[in-house]
Amino acid sequence: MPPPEAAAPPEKLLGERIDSVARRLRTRFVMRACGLGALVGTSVTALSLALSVRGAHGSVAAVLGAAAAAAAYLQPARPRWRPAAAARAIEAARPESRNVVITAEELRRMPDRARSWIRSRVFADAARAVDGLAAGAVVPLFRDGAALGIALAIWTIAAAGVVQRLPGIAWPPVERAAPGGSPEGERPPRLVATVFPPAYLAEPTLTLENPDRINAVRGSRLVLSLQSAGTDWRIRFGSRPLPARTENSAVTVELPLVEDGYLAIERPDAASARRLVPVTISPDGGPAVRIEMPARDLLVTRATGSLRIEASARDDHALHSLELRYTKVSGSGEQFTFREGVLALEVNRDSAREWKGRSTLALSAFGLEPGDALVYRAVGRDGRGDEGLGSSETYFVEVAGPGQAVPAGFELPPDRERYAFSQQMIVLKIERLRSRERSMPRDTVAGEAADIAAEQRAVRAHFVFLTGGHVEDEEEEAAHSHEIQEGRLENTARREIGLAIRHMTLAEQALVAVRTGDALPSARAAVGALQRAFGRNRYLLRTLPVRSRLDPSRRLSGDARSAADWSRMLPAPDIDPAARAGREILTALLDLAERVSMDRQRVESDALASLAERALGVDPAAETWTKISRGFLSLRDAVDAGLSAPELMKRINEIMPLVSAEAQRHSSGSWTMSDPDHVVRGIWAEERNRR
Amino acid sequence: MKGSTAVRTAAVILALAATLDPSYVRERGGTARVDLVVLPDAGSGTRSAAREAAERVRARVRETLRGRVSFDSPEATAGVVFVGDAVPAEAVRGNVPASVVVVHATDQPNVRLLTVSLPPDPIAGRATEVTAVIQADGMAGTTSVVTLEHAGAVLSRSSHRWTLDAERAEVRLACMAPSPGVRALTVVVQPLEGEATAADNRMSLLASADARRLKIFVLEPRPSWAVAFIRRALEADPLFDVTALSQLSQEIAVRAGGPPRMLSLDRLSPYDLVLVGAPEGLRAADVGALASFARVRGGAVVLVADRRPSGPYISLVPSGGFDEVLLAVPAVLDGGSAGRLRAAELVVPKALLPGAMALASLERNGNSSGVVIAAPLGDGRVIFSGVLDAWRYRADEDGYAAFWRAQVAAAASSAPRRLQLFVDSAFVAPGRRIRLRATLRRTEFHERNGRVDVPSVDARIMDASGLVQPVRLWPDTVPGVFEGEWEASAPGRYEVQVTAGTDLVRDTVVVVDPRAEAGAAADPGSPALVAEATGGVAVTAADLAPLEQWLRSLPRPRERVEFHPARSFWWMLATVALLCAEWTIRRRRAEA
Repeated sequence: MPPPEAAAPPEKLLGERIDSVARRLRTRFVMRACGLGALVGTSVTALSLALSVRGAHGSVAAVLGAAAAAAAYLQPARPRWRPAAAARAIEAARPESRNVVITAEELRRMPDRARSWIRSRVFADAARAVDGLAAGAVVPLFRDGAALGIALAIWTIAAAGVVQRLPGIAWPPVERAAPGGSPEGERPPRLVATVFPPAYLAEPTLTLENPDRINAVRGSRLVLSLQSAGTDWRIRFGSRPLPARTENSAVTVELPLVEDGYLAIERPDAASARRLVPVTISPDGGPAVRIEMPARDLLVTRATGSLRIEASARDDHALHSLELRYTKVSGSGEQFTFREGVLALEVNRDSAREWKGRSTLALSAFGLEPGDALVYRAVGRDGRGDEGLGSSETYFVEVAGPGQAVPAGFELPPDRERYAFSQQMIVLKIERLRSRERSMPRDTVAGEAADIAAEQRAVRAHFVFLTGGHVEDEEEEAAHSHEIQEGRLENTARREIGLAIRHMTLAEQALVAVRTGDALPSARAAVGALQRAFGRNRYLLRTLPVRSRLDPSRRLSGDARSAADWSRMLPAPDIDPAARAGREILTALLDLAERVSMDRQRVESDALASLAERALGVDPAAETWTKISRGFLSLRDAVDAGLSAPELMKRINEIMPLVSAEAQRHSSGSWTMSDPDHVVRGIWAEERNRR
Repeated sequence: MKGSTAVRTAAVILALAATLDPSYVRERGGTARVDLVVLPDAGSGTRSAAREAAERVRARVRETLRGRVSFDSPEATAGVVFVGDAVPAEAVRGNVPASVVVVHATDQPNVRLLTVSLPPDPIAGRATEVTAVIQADGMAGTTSVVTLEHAGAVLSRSSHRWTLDAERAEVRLACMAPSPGVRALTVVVQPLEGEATAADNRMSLLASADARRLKIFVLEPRPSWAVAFIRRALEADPLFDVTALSQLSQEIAVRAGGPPRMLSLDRLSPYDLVLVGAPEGLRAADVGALASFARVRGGAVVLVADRRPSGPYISLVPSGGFDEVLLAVPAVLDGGSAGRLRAAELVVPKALLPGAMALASLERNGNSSGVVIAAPLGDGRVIFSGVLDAWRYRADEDGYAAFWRAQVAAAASSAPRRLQLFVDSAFVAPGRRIRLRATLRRTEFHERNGRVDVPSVDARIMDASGLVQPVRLWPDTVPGVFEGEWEASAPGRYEVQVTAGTDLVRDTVVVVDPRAEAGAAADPGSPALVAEATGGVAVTAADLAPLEQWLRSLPRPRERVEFHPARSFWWMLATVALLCAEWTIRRRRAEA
């Protein structure tokens, strides 16, 4: 059995050392190659960003460049990590070995060059020379590793687009489309909108970057700036081009905001870059003022005592004042006198927007006589002065005149009821009360009669004001109305109205006296007179707490002999602009769907951008139209990106329900299938009629 | 000796009797004549599968019912066997029992689209509804989504939840033709998990919209606010072409748009609807003209009262009296999809006469009373409004104008045109048969001496190259209605034109396209319905035993047959046998 052939320990030790150093040499060169590749990749990435190379093309080019550089470096360097090179490195690290390591390495490769005992001697010397030698000391890797790490970090930072996102860097964003949509490669510049609210609001300036929408109070001023834009960018407000100034590569426009609209930011002949920003203007509403107490009209027997008044006001921005204004009305008939005044309220400010005020009116201080009235209202004001004035409903306190009965606790009916009285209704109520009064306590009957009397008074008051005021002898006045209005058409209607008023007065008096049996004939007679006056059999008359002025232009006048046929010109039908636009856009959308499904004609992004603008132009303040506009822009971007037909159809179907709903909004009913049994039922009806 | 003589004598007697050829008459069961009708496939329009099934039926009858049942006899039939899935209603004769052999049958869970329909002559810019009838078997608990699509774009969407294992539902899909023209639509029932097939879930239709306006005549025997504001609402809508006459006094009137100077059927015929305010001012002659307008012309008459009804026009109102209602607070009247009205003074019809329906109702004390009511009158209809003061609340958001526009539009659009043309399906696959129906309005008839003359009606179809094919129209049982069929062959766009007399022309478009979807091959319920209604059976092609049983049970006609026994083979055989026997007897005797 031959003895095991084992390398001499010195040779083995030497081999291990040389191999270890060779591996580290190889590692060093690989690290250097990678570092070089990272530098090349960083350069390519920076170049592609500077050239705005689209999509992943820049990244792919960077990786390929890096790989090519690394390979180009490694290929000629391969001999430099072989054992001979390792031996040279060891010799360089241990110069005292006097080339014995190099000799030993050569003998390892070419053992025939020396006799065995010489080889053993050389190996032994070389082993001693490398004994205790650390490979790391021969080939240190720290510097190369650090350099590699730095190079890779730089590449990563550049590829991630961190640098160009830093403020002040003018590079366009990477893989980020601006709101409102624009395809890659057509990125609009950064849009900065600054809204300056009206000075009187004293509100801070609002700055928006790349806004989806701009909301502002009417009267605000908008400064719009396109940062780092070329000089060929244009800005329109609707169809109106805005004059722009260019400073430091920024295009700036200014615009007073007084109406809804949209801003179109575009470059000529580049529909895919068009960007639309709706602008919604909210008016500064006037203060909403209410009288909280007593919030009703009052009829008092004497002008004594006091009246506590509480008012509240609310404004959408800020209130500036709240006060009570009154008018004292004296006299009767056509001899009224008016005196106006202002009373301060004790104001409690819950916030700048909500105030409450209270005051106590001493009625005796106004010098009210029987038959006089005090009309009052609360008035609030916001920062716009007289333009921002808000007034409460007007109430009045009336002092009962001579002979005027004032039922206890009388007040005019509350809101809902005082608007729906008719003389016919009063007749009906009296009839109902009469049918029940035998079984009712007297007090209850009196109460209900008083209520009806109040309603009767309200209806009567309307006619009194309608005819220009009460007269001492209504019947006599009505009978001679044709004499008074000489030259005018004899007005029998006026006489009948006068009669009706008189009957209403009688009915009211009977009701106050709880004599329903007397009240009913008078109320019916009033209805009859009204029927004769107007040729109608019922009237629903609104009574208003404020005495309205008569409009002479609405009084009957003219010569009956000149009356003749008249051919009326029919007004031109008006179709709601939003509905019309909805139908036109729906037609365009259906045509678009056809083109997409047939894939025969190319869908033009210019047309889609125009549709988006058209939709936004219908009502920039409406959320629906804004969504439709955005949908069209999204569709345009999809077309520009070359997406497939199903993807385009998906976007069309996102818009379709909105457009369809808008188009149908003002449609006259729905066109449904007619009754299939209609003819049979018609024959049946005919037969029924025949019998 | 005696035996042979007797045998010989018998043989001679038989021979002599044969020369006399005696006969007698007797009755027996004959052959039942049955029609075998092969139906076209509702989906493809072809008959291939049905023909195969019909051959199987013939073979089965030949094997088992020879002499008892015969097909294809020109004589009166004892029954009909339909082979196919869709039995046309007109093919069923009420007094003849019919059985159906269903070709495509499945008992697996499935949702199928049976029919889709679109109102005739839709107007561009006005909302309309496509009605789809769908049926589900074994799909209880699931929800079907139905969409109306144009070129893949979804115009409308609706859904229906199935609660029964076998259920049929009608789904309405709102849509609008935004502009005049023709567009191909597809109704799609989105397939559910586990459906047997999705092939019957799509059906195509062609929507053809035009830009016509509805002609309205507003008549006020005296000025009436109640109708004035309706008129204004109509005048503001481009859908309506309004003509108005307001009689201020006996001598003075306000006219707009050239109204007729007096009422008669001829003068009112151009209008689709007549809106009458203050109808108590109508004279009896006026009421008669309006009644003729509704009855003969098929127009709609809308009577808007502003006071308690009186006068001759009450005969037009489908009500048995009125109640007057005054409310302290205005009530809201529900007008369904048309909107709502608000009114405080109302005239409420006491009882609706048969055929009448409420368009707007008042809820009182838990009861609903129709205040705006409608009823058919002849070919037309009458609408009565008892909301006396709804005009006062026209500024409210309840939709006073919208309500009246919707009601007037619905009534006016139902008024027939002088000549109408219906095509059962205008977007079909090649090979499908298309049915045409032309309807002449009664105003186009000529009555003379008690005889009604109907103008001649012709139909033709022209393809894109200008080639014209005439279509044979057959008169229906209803005067003025003509029907015909045409088989769509080559794909393309065809113009269907119908003419009546010399001046009436109506046309429409039919598109033949292989991509047209036909929905379910047939209504799965129709075979069973036909069989049940006529006394037949509905079977599948795979199991013809019930059909055989039914055919066997059909009554056979009794036949009187003259019978000649001497001509029978057995007669001759008996004679020969007797002669042979006589010869055999004699031979044995001679041997003995």
